[in-house]
Amino acid sequence: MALDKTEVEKIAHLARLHISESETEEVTTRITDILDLIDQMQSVNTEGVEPLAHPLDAVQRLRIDEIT
Amino acid sequence: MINSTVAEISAALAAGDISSVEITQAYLDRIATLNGELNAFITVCEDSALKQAKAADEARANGNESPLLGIPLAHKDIFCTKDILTTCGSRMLHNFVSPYNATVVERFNDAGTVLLGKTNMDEFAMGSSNETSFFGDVKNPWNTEYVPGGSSGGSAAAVAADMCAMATGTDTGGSIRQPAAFCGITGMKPSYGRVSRWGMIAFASSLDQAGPLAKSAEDAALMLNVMSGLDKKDSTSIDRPAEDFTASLNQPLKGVRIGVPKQHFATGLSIEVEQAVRDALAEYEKLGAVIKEVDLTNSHLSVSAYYVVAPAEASANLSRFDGVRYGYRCEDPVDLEDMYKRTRSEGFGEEVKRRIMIGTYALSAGFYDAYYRKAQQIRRLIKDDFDRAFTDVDVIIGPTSPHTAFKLGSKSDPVSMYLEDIYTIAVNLAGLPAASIPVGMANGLPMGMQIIGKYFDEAKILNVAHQFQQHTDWHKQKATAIVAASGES
Repeated sequence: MALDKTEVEKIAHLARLHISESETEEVTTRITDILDLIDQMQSVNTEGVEPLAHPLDAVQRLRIDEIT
Repeated sequence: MINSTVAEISAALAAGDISSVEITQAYLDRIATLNGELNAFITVCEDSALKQAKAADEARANGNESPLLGIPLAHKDIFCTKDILTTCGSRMLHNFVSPYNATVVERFNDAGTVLLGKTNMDEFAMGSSNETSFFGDVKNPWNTEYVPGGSSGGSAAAVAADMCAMATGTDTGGSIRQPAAFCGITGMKPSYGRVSRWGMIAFASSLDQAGPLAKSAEDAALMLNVMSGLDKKDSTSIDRPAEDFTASLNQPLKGVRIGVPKQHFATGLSIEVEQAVRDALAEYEKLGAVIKEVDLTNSHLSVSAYYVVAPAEASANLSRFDGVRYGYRCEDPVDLEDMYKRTRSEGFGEEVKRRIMIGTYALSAGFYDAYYRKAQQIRRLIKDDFDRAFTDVDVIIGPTSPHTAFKLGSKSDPVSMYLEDIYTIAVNLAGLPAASIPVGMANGLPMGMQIIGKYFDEAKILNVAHQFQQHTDWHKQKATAIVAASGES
């Protein structure tokens, strides 16, 4: 998926990063290359597959709910 | 003695053949000789190391028999060390002195080890060559024109060049195993949750795991004995009974079932590495193991899923570096936004900024399902592949890296660097334990073999690794070029 300059500037702002005018083109190319790599995921149908957030499907350990 | 294993040094210390002060001084001398060339250490703790060594010798005189007492080690500069510079390889933390110790550091201190210094690394552990460090490249001790691997490149180079007896590292996508392979040493990423992440500067929290870099599987087992265990300060730390990972090292391998994933021997693997791993499998058959093919169907998706999960988590984790609380702050900001933006742009290197941007994009409004959720679904498929394979085999063996170390500066585009970790990343996504051990040499550079185990079956991996090392001597090969260059024996 190709990004344009405006989108890259928007992402940089969301990440609170400053990208100078001279860097924008290279950054855009690099990020587009990486998004192409990432898009290989889209070739697989994952409908109905439960997302995995923790390898052992463990949940947070909570302390006892008492006033401390 | 500096080229000995931890087990050997431990025996010599116990027998009184050498003192901790003597061996510590020998490593400090070695570091002084070689660090200019290799750049493996960011910080050397000469004074405190000698103090710790003296204390260890006194403790031994008073009857302390801890196996790692007085053994000199190095910590990757990602672990917080009280009153010692902790940079994470970044300009952002170039001046950060931690007010507390990471749990891993605390555990080694309790075991009586001696901290020689903090090792160089890719910035915030993002890299596979150690070239993204703010503190300069680390050189491979086998050939200084080559990279040591990354991100734990300083730790791997320091162990390989006998600048320490052992070192810690962290592994998010291969950052212990790949540098271990490139430098000809033994490295292990434990199961997710085995080792506390508290005080370990976070990169991708659902993948990060600390582990040992050592000169043998036995040494890695000795280190893991100290490092692992429940820590209430890390909510993902797993509560399991303490284990002695050295206990089963000598079990015979008769009947052990070794799975060989055909996907790890496909296009892209160098002939030399393939041959070395195949030779090792033949050695295992001689030892009575049974070789079976296994199918990791979705392994080709691991790199793409990883480059969503890891940058997404990194973009959140690294938002704390804003110039307000600690670390680098830009000069003369005009307003708050200017301070945030310039601090982060000047404090972070190119690769870190790239990953923050990828992660920010993947998590931005409207893209969550297409990226992060999709990547987590792929994670499930990858884990299911391993679960299926492990119903039939005890360990899975393949190459750690497709080839030997590459030349410094030879991989300038990020995507080709990312594909370096093609065999290691799936293990992190699934949260499994895996080791890399030396398996041969090609063109004067070492090659590594990856041994993947079931959840919490580090003991079996170490048993399989140790038995190989009892019957071969690849792990005893020394980086002779650097030894000759330094004029030491």
